[in-house]
Amino acid sequence: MRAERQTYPRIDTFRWDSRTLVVGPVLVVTIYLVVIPLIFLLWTSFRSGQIGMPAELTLGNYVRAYANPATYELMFNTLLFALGSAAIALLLGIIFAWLVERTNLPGKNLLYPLFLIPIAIPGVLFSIAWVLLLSPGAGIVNLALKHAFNLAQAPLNIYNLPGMIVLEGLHLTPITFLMMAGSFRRMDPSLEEASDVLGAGFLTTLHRITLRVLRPSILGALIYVLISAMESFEIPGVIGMRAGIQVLAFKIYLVKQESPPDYGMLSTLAILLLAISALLIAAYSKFSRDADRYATITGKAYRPKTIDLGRWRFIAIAFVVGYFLVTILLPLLVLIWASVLPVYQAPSMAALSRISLENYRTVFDISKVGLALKNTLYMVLLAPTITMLICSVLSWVIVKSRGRGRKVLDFLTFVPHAIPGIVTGVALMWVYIFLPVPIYGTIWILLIAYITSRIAFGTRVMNAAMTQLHKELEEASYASGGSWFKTFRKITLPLLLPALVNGWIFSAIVVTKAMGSVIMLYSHDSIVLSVLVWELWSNGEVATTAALGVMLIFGLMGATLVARKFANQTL
Amino acid sequence: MRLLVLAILFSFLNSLAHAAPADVIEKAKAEGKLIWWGGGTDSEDREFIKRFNQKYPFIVVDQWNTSSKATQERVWAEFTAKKYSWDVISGGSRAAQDWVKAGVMQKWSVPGLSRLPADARDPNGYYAPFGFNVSVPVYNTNLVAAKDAPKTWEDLLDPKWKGKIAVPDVMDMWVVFGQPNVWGKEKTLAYVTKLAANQPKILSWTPGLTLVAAGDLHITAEAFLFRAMASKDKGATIELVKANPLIGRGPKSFLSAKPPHPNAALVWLDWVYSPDGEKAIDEVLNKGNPAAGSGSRQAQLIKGQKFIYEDDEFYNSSKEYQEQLKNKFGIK
Repeated sequence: MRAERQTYPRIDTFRWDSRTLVVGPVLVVTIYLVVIPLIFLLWTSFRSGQIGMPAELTLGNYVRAYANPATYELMFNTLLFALGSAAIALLLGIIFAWLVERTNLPGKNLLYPLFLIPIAIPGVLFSIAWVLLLSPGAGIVNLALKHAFNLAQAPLNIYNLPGMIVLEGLHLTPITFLMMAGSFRRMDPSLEEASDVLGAGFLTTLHRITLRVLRPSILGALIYVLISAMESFEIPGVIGMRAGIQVLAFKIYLVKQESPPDYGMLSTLAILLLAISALLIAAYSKFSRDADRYATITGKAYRPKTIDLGRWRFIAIAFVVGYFLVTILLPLLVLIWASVLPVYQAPSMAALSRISLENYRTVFDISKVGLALKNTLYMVLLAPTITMLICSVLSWVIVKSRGRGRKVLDFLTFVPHAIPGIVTGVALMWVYIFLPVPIYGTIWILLIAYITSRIAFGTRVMNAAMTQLHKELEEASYASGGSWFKTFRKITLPLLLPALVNGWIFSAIVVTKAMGSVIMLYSHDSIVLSVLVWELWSNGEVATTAALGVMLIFGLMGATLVARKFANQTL
Repeated sequence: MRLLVLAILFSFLNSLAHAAPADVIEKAKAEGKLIWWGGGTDSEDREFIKRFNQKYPFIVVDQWNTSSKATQERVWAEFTAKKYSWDVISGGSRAAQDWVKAGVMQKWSVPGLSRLPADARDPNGYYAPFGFNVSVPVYNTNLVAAKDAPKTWEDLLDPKWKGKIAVPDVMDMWVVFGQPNVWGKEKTLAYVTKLAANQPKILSWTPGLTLVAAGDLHITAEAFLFRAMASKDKGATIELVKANPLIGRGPKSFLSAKPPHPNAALVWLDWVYSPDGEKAIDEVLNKGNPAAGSGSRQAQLIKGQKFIYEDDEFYNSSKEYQEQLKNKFGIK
């Protein structure tokens, strides 16, 4: 028995022990969470007519979708938007992670929680803020530039694909930062030091050592933001709609808005997104196949070397400040400005005379604010905790076990991310309407939606961390007679704690602002803050939306700082 | 069926004296609750409920105010699941015929309906207008001087508005213009073709108005009069275009096929179409009947302008024509 434990267990070798008792239910739950909605999605894509009405199985939805040249234009726009956004987010995320984790950048401890704030700004508010800043007609930045340089035309225009790409890239950057920061922190610097000793320059070391060692994490982050951009509909909705540029996810949202909704087409387009993501995952799997080569966290104690930026630190500071200026300060300022006016106007003396805090008072008059706050808090506490625990076990199976089907499991955990949130919402709605599980209309269905949609992120974070976790530590535990559960609890989880906590914080922020899947599942009693913001915006209450948005952002900033402080004390 | 009989009886009794019959009120009191999906803003809907509770304080109205489209989605979902969590809906006007066909709603009648314009009522008795939205073009007065402002629908075709004008995403209003008694299909299609040449931004009503009020766009071809009025009252630098004709369309009241609180629902509908309810629709929701002589705020604002109600039958029987309109605009 002991000899068997010295190697990694196979998941397809059944035996009753702690591993089976933990891994088994987690696998079953994952399959239930992911596969059942997928079956409904597939079913509706082959179904004619309105759900609930007489219908038959057909290929008609696919024929309609793929015979329409607009579908290919949508695919082209979507890929361009996703690739551009992901490239920006990845580049910036790696640079920021490196600066924070590996250099002597002044004030870097303060910067870490700051990088979480752009994530906390809901996409709708971020988009509206940038319309108010950079639209050719009313953008404050454009008005200022026109005034300063006596220009006849606005010099900048947000209403185009490059504008959308830059904004989405900036909005996604904190995700790549979070995913890369943990990897930089855990990376054994001995290879870099050896490179230094052998006389290689900074760029050579970066290219030949650092980036290669980090390849699994980079690929994981890239695939994640690529699909995040593909499923994004808030920036395409606010800016793309105005610019006349449509992407696939927003088109799905528009199809869903038709009455009666064309669920067949909705699902068919979602399947198209799923197919693209499946191709991306296949490419990712190919590139990360030999991830073991990059395992650089061992049982050895080490402290990553801190790189002295020297004179470059001023450029680095300017770079970081510039990022925060465009992703936090300017959007926040313009939202604050919108929140103190009865109706939005560009800054002027006349507008200044109309400033008041009336909208903030109005927010507290809204009957559902208290309920939405309470529900959101429940979700923020429960969803990330359950998700990260499930994902830890899943990642162990995907990365460390040797059983057949782990690649299928890897794909399955990624599937929810490939389905736009709004479609996940529709699929889950049908699942829990028809299955005899009485959670429809309660906050529990929201919890399932949150967990389902966060599994992809959680497993990416934990996979990246798990990949860098050398097997010698766990093998030592098995060799000493430790059971799987004890090894997982005492060795694996503590070593993964930084990634676990990072993933938890990020998931908590995302849960607070998540809207896509929730919009189809909430009821009067299960309303959450993100949906309340959306409802106010949909009803044209821009000033109240801005006031609630500002409070939400400041609340999240405070919560993030507390969480970080707790994490720093704990880790 | 039982509810229909109850509704007819209720309607008859109510016509004798304008107060809900005592037995219905007693049953409503026992139910104690009404679930109403409204379509106004939170503050508007709450104020509207407050007016209702002045007369019927014993009915707690559980309100969900959301967009018409969100309401439609939820109704379809719940109907498919054979769940009936709501009593009355005010919204979803475009889904009306589909809901009726599917059996989502039931017929109802209250005495106050007789005061509504005949062409605004459903001849089959399934729904009635819950106030009226009037679609009007709106421009930003900082960007467009009064002398340059459009005065007619045709003025929106002026090339000087190229890229500066918003139109709704679903072409609803132009469908209505295609009715035989307005412009007719050919004139409407020709108009839309020219309008498309002005490269309008396709935006829904509220976002279009928001961007015009913010100064991002010069004109929106369609804004809800009540929303424009509210923005203007708050100081937005916008002005309405008094074009002819104007289109009246808007939310409708629907009674669920299986309401959880059927008596409270009838009491609510009776009040909505009573003089008190009409007054609240006008004063609180700014959706009073725009017809001349109604005395509503909307009627005063569009005084002297030709006004028509949308024709649901035409909308539902003109799918091919709607596709033509979309094609003219390049909507795929």
